[in-house]
Amino acid sequence: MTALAYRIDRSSRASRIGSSVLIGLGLILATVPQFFVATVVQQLTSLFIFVILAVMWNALAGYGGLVSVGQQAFIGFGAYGTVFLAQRDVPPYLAVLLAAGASAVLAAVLAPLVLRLRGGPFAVGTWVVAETLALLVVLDHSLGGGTGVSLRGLNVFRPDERRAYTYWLALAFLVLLLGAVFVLLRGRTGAGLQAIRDDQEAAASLGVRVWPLKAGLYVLAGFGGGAAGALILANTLFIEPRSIFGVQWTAYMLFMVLVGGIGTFEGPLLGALLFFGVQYLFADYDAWYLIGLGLTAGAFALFLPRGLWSLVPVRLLPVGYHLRRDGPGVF
Amino acid sequence: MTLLSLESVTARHGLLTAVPEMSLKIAEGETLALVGANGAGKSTLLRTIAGAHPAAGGRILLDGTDITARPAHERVALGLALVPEGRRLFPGMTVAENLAVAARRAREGPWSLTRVYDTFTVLAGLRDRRASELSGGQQQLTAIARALLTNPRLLLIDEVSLGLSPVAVDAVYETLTTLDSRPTLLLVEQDLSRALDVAGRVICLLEGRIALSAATGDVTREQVTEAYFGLRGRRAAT
Amino acid sequence: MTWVNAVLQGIFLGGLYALFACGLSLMFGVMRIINLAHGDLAVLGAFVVWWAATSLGAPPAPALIGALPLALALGYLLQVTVLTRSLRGGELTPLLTTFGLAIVIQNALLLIFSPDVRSLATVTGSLSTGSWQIGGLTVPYLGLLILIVATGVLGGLHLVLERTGFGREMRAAAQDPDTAALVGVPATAVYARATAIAVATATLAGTFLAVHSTIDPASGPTQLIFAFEAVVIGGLGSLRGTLIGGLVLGVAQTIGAQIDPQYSILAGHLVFLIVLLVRFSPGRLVPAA
Repeated sequence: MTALAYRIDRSSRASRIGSSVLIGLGLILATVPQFFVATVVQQLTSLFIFVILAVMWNALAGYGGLVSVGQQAFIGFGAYGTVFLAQRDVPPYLAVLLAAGASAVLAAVLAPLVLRLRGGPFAVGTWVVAETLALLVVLDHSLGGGTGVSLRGLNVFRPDERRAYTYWLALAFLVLLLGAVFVLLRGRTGAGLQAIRDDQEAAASLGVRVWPLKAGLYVLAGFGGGAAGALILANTLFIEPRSIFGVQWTAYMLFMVLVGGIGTFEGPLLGALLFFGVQYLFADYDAWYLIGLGLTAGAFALFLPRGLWSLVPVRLLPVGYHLRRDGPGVF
Repeated sequence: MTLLSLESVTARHGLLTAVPEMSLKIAEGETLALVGANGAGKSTLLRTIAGAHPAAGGRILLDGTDITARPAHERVALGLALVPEGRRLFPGMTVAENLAVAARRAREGPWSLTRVYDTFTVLAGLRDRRASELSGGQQQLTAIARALLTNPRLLLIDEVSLGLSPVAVDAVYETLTTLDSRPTLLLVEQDLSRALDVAGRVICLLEGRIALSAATGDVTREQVTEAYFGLRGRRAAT
Repeated sequence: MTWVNAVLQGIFLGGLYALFACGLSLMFGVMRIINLAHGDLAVLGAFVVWWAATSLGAPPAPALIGALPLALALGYLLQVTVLTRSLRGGELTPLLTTFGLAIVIQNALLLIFSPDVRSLATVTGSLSTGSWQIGGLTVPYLGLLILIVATGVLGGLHLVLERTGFGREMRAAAQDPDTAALVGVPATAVYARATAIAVATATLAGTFLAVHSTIDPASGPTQLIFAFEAVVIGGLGSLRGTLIGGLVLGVAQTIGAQIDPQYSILAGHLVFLIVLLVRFSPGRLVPAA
């Protein structure tokens, strides 16, 4: 028998081009506020927020096998945390950063509690946590109670400045979080996470440290959710508990991730873009629009579980492993 | 008369082919022992016949009826029963409950709960014991009784003696060999002497292929051992 | 005395939660899935009864009895068309599909029945408002009826699972579906029966909710959460536990409300979180004994 000569590649030509294009795109996007009108800047900011949400939910569900129905806990916490800090004279953009950090801390505190559950119980358990936080916020009259609250302090900036700063902050968070997920997937953790998703018990018996990995993902997703919530507030300047803690966020994340491709790096990006377009076109139809979202997400889960990205033959980013045969192997 | 016939049946585990294009006939009333090393494809073959593992190709005929596409529970209704590897009793249920589940949808036939308790006298005393509390031998007897209760025409038993104490193995074989109205039997057995003792025909699998198929009276232990380890070359008996 | 009365009212309220939790618990016990559309299916059933009672003028009891076979059929169909397929997709797929289904049901109800709040209290007369006063304690007719029905349904179902061939097959399919198939049990059909029962009990619970207070197309998620809390407080996977879990949740809510009405639901959530903290060891699904 001849020894088989194989080589493992981390990147392919397509993925090298893909990463360069993405980096270039990021640099071009950074200049948008200089050249475009207010609506474009604001819309793109919302798109970035949706991408952050999709990427974070995918990190949890797609990589960690943790289907959460309660990430709105962190969205709401990030937003209300920003309000809380701004009320105490913290500069608003600093408050956004601090609130995102505080969301990560909250996630670290909650992780030992909710990660006791798995599968369905985990899903609803996280939802209970979100509902609990919403109720606590409603009880606090200094945060506007049930009627909502505005973010003060941003009026020191001119509106176009404010939009540009919020835009850049959203872009910076997006790049940071995409980078974090990318690093996570490329390292040893990527293989460990894959093993957990396939079979948690088997992974544990192979020495994968299941708990720290899952908790790490949960904290990362908490940070991302908090950042998204704080950015939503900075973008719209007003929030109320029923909507910022609402389960509709989970519906959106589910749609974006399932349609784009759960468990892939690129899928959530594609899904967020699609969702953004769908929302722009159909949001006025309200109930019918949501029925469409629900049916589409369900259909993808059943019939195309790896999403639209699975139909695209190229990998944009060097996250996987490619096995190549070097020499003439003989079977 | 042929009861079961396999025509080029293939079974896979992912990309691995566990059983490649196996053809085999089992006559009504015979007792057939399937031997072979670990990974030879014995369990996969039994599970494929029973419908617990999908066939990737070929046809499975039970008494002339093509059952290849039938789900496992329908094959039971047609007279196939498998005692799976590891016994697989319902752990949270008592012995009586394990048996009752099988009796509920049983075919017409000689086996009833009363008859099972008469034959497997040990089980009568264990009726209300949880399956998870039984010894290995007791579990195996319960599993065989549970399969008999479906009144199979062909009974498949995977790893009859694996993990059992010698005394328990004796008890299980004692029961099997003295069984009245015994169905056609296909059993997987690691212990060659046992296999040759109890069966009328022995088939030795090597890497999913039949390396030897012969009446037990016509072969020596050594010949089976050679086939078992592939010492006679692979194509000898196919 | 007000506290004793609060506990008593909590037990009556808990009966309703236990009834909501019954189907959720059964489906989790048999298939290990949480049906995220459970609350919405309950509200859907309640709307059908409400529609029959108000538009067709049917008395509520016959309307409910007429709706139950429909609910059984809906559950069976739901299983064979959607859930069987999603069970094959792995542990997460049923969550994703039932969440999608929940959104569809809520918005379909919104389109058909408008966002208005509805109640069956108007057509049930003294049942929904009347009560006995016994030594300073209030025993509402409806609360007592719901508690009796909940105990009957959960207890009856428990007995069916333990004592009948039908129930044994369901337990066998729950413990090991592959082996169940090997002794002739069609796991798909058994699962469909479990979902049929779950949707029927959900309809029963939804209808009682509509008599007790109000329903609207967005009521489902809250009821799902309460049902889930009852199931977890009761220890996941036993109907007896679920009944107790429902009662504990009800009592927690009424005691919370006794302190301040705003604390009612919060108190329930806190009890749930405490149970999670105390009874579930990390990484385990079933509480430590």
